[in-house]
Amino acid sequence: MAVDHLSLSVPQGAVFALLGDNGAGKSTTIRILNGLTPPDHGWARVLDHDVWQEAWQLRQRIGYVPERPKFYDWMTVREIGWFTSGFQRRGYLDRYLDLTDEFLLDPRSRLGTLSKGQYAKVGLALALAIDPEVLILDEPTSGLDLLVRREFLGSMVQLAGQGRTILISSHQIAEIERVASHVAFLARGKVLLAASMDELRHQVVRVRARCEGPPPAASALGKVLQEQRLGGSWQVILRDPDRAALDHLRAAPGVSGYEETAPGLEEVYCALLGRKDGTP
Amino acid sequence: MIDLQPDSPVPIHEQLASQLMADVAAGSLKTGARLAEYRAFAQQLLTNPQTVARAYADLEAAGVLERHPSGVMEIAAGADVVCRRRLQEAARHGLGEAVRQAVAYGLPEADIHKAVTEALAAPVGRPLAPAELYTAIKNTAHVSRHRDSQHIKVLPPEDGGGPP
Repeated sequence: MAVDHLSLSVPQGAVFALLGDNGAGKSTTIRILNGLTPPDHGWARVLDHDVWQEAWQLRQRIGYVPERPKFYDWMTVREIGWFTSGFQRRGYLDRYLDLTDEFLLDPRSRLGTLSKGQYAKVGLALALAIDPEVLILDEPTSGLDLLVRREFLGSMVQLAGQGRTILISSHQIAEIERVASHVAFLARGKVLLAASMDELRHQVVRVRARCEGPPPAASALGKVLQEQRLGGSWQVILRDPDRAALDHLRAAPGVSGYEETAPGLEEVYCALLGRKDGTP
Repeated sequence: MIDLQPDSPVPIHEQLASQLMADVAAGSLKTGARLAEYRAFAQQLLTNPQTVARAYADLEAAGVLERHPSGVMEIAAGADVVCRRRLQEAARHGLGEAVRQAVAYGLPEADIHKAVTEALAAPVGRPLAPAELYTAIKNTAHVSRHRDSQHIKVLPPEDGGGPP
C-alpha cells in the first residue's frame, strides 16, 4: 500500500511541498489528486470537486507536470499544443505558444529531438497554458540543469504571486526552502509532519549546550528526533519542545553555551526521516 | 545586492528586511527610492511572494518603508536614521556578547579594556560596505533568536502582515 491514512489539507494560495524518500507515497498522492489513480478508501477533493468522480471538471482547472512527461514524440512543439488545446478552454493555444516562446522553444522542433530540459519545458508550458487555479508538480526539476530549474522556479513564483495554489514534490530541498510556504514530510505512506514554514520554526528546534557531567535527559524536553554529542557539546533536535523544561535547562548549573535555533529543512528532514521506526 | 540563504536559521523575510536596511543605512537606498513591486521582486529573488510581502510589511511597520498611494513602496523620510539606529543596537549587542564571552574564557578585565582601546585607536578607514553591514546585522539577527535577547531583534517578531 503506497499511502495509508494520509491526511493533508493544502490552503488556497499556498506553495505546498511534499518531501520524503523514494517510495514514501508522494507520487501516489499526486496521482490520486489528479484523478489518475482511484483511492481504495477515503476521499480527496480539489477546488470543491471529488478528484475521481468529477475528474473531468478539474481537467481544465488543474495543471499537472508529471515526473517523466511522455508525449507523442513525432509531434512538433506547436502540434502538441494544438492537440492538447482540443481538451481545453478557449485561448489555450495562444497562451501555450506565448509560453514556449518565453522558454525559447522552437515551435517547429519535433518533441523527439528535444533535450531533456526542453522536453520538460514543453510539459510545464502545457500545464501553465491551462492558466490553472492549482498547479501540481511531481519532481519537476529532477535531472534538469540549473538554468532550467531556475526557469521552473520562476514560473512557480509568478503563479504563486497571482494567488494560485501550488503542490510540489521534490528532492531539491534548497529550492523548496526558497519558495515553499508549507511543507509536509512523508514516510511509508504517512504524514510525519505538516506545517507552514513559520510553524515549523516553532515546532522543531535545535538545542545545543555544553554540559559538565552527563547530558540532561532529552526526553524531558520534548519529542526527541535526534540526539548527538559533537565534540564537547551536546545537541538535540526536538519536536514540540517543552518551553518550561528548556528554560530550566538553560539556567541549570553546569550548563553553558546554551543555544537554540531553528534547523534548516534539510536537518529537519534528516531528523524526522532518519528515525528507525519512521513515526513522529 | 540581496543575498538570501534559505537554509539559514534566520527566516528569509528577516534576511531580506535586514539587507534592505543595510542598504538604507549605507545610503545606497535613499529617501524616496522605490522598491520593486513585491511579486516582481519575488520573481527576481526566486522566493515566495508572501515572504517579500512580509519583509515589506515589517519594514513599513518599522518606519523604513512608506506605501505610496499608488501602492508602490518607497523609502520613508528618516529611514536612514532608523536603520542606522538598528545597526548601532546590533553593534552594541555584538560588543556585549563578545565581552561576555571574553569574561567566560577568563580574559582579565584590563585586557578587555585594552583590546577595546586598541580597536578604537586603529584607523577606521572607509565606511562599511552594505554587505559587511549586512553580515553584522545578520549575525545579530541570528543571536537574537536566543530567547533572552528578543529585545534586540532586528525586526519586531510580532509584525506579521499579509501582502501589500
